[in-house]
Amino acid sequence: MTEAALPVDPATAAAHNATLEAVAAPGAWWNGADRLAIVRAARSAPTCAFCAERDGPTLPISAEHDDDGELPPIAVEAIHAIRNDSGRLTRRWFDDVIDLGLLPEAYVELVAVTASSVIVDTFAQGIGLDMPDLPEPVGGEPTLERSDDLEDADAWLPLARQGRANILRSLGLVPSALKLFFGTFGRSYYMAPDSHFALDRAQVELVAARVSAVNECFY
Amino acid sequence: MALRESVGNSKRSSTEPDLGVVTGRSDGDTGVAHGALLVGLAEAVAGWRWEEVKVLRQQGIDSMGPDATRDAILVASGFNGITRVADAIGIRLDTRTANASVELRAQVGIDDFAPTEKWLA
Repeated sequence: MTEAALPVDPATAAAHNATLEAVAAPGAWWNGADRLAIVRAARSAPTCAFCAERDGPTLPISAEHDDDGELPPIAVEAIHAIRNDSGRLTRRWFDDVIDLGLLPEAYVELVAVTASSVIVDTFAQGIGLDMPDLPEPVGGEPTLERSDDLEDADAWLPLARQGRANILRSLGLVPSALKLFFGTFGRSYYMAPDSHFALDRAQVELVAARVSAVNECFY
Repeated sequence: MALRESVGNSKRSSTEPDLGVVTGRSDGDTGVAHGALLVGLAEAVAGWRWEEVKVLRQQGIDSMGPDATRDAILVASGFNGITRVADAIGIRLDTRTANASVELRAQVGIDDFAPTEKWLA
């Protein structure tokens, strides 16, 4: 897929490289090897035979996903569901994931790593490159970081107390997860005063809105 | 797919997007410059349909230029990620947005993406 790839601007390349380097290092609730395994699970999700046949309006929890055994089955369930079926996620599905042993903090970090890898990999493939190679894992233990500066905003998890919009507060339970994700996403929208695109604002909003609709995202 | 004939991305948008096109209920270029191409590219990127992306990418290079095409893919990639965060955390619409968009959301069908069971414990 490498012919005629579009040139990547340096700031985007730096941001996406920083994401992969950060993923390879220990996080708050997963070590570096685990976090890289989350990325690999997200990458393998599109070819998961079980996901391809799982239909219906909601998602039953399952341990039948294509899985190389690197992660607990409930983590693979969460990664595949987020990668392949995010529009069908429900509160009941989330409660089952937590009841079956995934800590809420570990879930938040898993969401951030999965969604960040979706951005990096989608962009690379979209411009005509292969998905980037993953770094070697960095040794060390998770920090067990957890924020207490939270509030109930009627989401499935408490959100950061501070923030202009719910999406910006969504990963607030684990501040490093929030930082990881928005460090990745930041180049894709007007997140900074110097944000600039070779598209006008209406074009950017059209692309953003159409992708959100394709993904059946209410927010 | 009929695309505007222009060189570079010099043709600017003059109106807000047609929301029927955004939600897939109608076709067209939405009044946004290169709108039909951008919608097609957004759909193909969001669906990870790389052969289709390859064709549309070349059309984008030819009509909007490489930087605009790359940025369209960058925006689409970002929203492919952030929609997953929103859905996986089960966040609600911000109060101000929700209050200001009741009719609009019903009109264009966005409410269909938030069935009752989404938040039902």
